[in-house]
Amino acid sequence: MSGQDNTAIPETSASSAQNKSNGNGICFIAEHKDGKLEDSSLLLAAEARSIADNLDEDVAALIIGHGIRDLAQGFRPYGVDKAFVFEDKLLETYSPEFYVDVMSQLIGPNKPSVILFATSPLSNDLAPRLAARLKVGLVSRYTQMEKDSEGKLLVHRHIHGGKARVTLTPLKKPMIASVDPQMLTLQKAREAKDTQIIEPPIRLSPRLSTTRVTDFIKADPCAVCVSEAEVVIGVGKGLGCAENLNAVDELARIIGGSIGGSRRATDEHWIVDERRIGLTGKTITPTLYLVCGISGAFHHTLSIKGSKLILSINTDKNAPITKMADLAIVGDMHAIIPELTRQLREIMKPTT
Amino acid sequence: MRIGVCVKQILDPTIVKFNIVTGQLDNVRYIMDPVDEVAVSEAIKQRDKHGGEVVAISLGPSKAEEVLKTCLKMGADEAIHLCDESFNTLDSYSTSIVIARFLSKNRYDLILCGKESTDEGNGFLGAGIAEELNLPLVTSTTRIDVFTDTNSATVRRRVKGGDREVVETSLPAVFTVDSVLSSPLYPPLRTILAGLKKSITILDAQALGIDLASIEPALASLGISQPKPRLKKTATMDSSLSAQERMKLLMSGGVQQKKSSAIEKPPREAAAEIIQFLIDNRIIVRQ
Ligand SMILES: Cc1cc2nc3c(=O)[nH]c(=O)nc-3n(C[C@H](O)[C@H](O)[C@H](O)COP(=O)(O)OP(=O)(O)OC[C@H]3O[C@@H](n4cnc5c(N)ncnc54)[C@H](O)[C@@H]3O)c2cc1C
Ligand SMILES: Nc1ncnc2c1ncn2[C@@H]1O[C@H](COP(=O)(O)O)[C@@H](O)[C@H]1O
Repeated sequence: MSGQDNTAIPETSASSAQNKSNGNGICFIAEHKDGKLEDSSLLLAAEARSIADNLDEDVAALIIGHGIRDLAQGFRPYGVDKAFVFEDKLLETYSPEFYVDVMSQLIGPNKPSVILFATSPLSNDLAPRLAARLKVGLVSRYTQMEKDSEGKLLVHRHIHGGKARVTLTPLKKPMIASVDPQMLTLQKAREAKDTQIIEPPIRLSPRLSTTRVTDFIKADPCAVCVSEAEVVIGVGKGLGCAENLNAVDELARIIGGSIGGSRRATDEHWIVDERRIGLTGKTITPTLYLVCGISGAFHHTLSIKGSKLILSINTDKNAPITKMADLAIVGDMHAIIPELTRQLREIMKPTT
Repeated sequence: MRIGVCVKQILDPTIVKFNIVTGQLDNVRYIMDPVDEVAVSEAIKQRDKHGGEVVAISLGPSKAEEVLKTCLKMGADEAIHLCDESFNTLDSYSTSIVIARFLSKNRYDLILCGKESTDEGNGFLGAGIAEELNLPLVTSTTRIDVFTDTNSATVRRRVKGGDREVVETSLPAVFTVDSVLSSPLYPPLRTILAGLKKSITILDAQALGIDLASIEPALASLGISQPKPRLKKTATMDSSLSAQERMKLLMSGGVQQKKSSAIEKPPREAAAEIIQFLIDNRIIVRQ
């Protein structure tokens, strides 16, 4: 495949609805868990659709695994034209070698222009393997994909820790790209559309697998290092004294969070040094960072920027952390935290 | 045991700045990628345990020899600098092919590289090498136990939220390393001094027997620019809406630009507000 093929994306034509361009489509990899599509896959379907509209192409989903035949219907509201489905008992547990083999067979000789993944532990493992197998380029965590005035596909992503942005263009087809689902918003639902299901005949050779998963070690979400935790609860000077940690601990246990804190909290020995977050401590990238009694000094916030959601509880409405927070509660942590624990006990169970 | 470890020289991301006027990077300081430092430390620990040698490999301009010098001082046995004018603009796919060609000239029991470089973050190289050399690959490893008697290894890999998957593989194999794999190495003075005496082997395309024209690059870079600030989805919105309505609003991007606001309420209501936020964002589910 030469570079020319890619730049040959035609200008939008009136007949496009019937007769899509010869780009061979935008393909995306659907992730699922316990027989359900992951939310990130719905966001990705919508993203694929909007890129496809921009490039005047079709959208195809790739769904592989075991017990997944019905999942394609979940894409009905997102304008997904086709779903390539492959089921096999061998795929019940994740084996990257099988997955890559199936994906490259499903993609086949009719190469799409783009194959999209939503970033996740699974796709971080799979996307590079697929790119390597197809001998094509991988753009991880792109921030924007567009067509220039000549119809050339441009992909932007951050480099140097977000200090600069690089613009890339594929020279081979397909280009593999991953996007952080947190950056995506679900577009308006479209008219429901029947997704054509295609189940190509593929043979799996059990010998393909060169590695074998022998065990899974589940971490205790409260004990895990703050740098790996999905939920982090941060405490600072506002904690007041070591005894007050008990209430935070109770909350952490019910919500499945790992406790970390500011330098003030480690200096006071309320928490151990390994749990310090900031310039002289750990960098965190949780789904939720619940910040209690921390003002939000630069030395601290530098290391929390990768948090998907920040929720702060602080008595001072002018504390810098308030401006960074997705939800900022102005109030006394010592009153709110026990109340929060009490209400949580009544209504919920943790998802993880 | 022969261990190959890939190391990359990068710009220190904590100080580098994009200059809007010149369109270039300012405050440029070259360092060894921290994740590769972890890989080298692990390689040396494995060698010290099982014997053999550590070969550090870097592809880059002349300046990149600095990181190889560091590897030698850390205790690497050999340092290979893949350096050629024509390598300067290689994309990550072509880089993996060139490094794989070098590695194919010798038997390596273990090939280590970072799970993703700190500057570019492609996360590709390990997979590229494994595919080209047809070797097993395990990504994001957090612990490596090698069994030389059976030529195999048991490794742990990082998944979500601190969970680990345990994987068995035969050797030779390629492992990409997570930054928690190995603690920093403090080489004794005599190792450092010995490292200072070792020399770096420089190989260009010709010495490697590589015809770059035969490697088709996968991506072309069209240049760098100032990053656009990311839009952040925020979930602070009208609390009179039902959870479902909020969810819809959130999903539609309707509140994307809304600035977060501070909410001041008595504890009971404040806690309820927090719970609604946690539900809206699927941190917790109602029983
Ligand atoms: C070289 C250097 C490196 C540093 N490295 C780090 C680092 O790695 N990590 C780090 O965190 N800091 C670091 N610091 C320190 C940093 O500058 C701040 O001093 C520190 O983060 C402040 O901690 P804090 O927010 O807990 O305390 P404060 O700034 O004192 O803030 C306490 C906050 O708690 C609130 N509060 C008080 N009572 C309550 C209550 N009852 N309920 C709710 N809120 C309440 C207050 O309104 C205030 O906003 C470093 C400093 C230097 C100079
Ligand atoms: N030019 C290079 N020379 C040596 N190793 C490299 C080079 N580029 C990448 N690597 C290795 O591959 C890892 C992943 O890089 P990347 O695929 O660019 O994210 C890095 O952490 C290095 O270990």
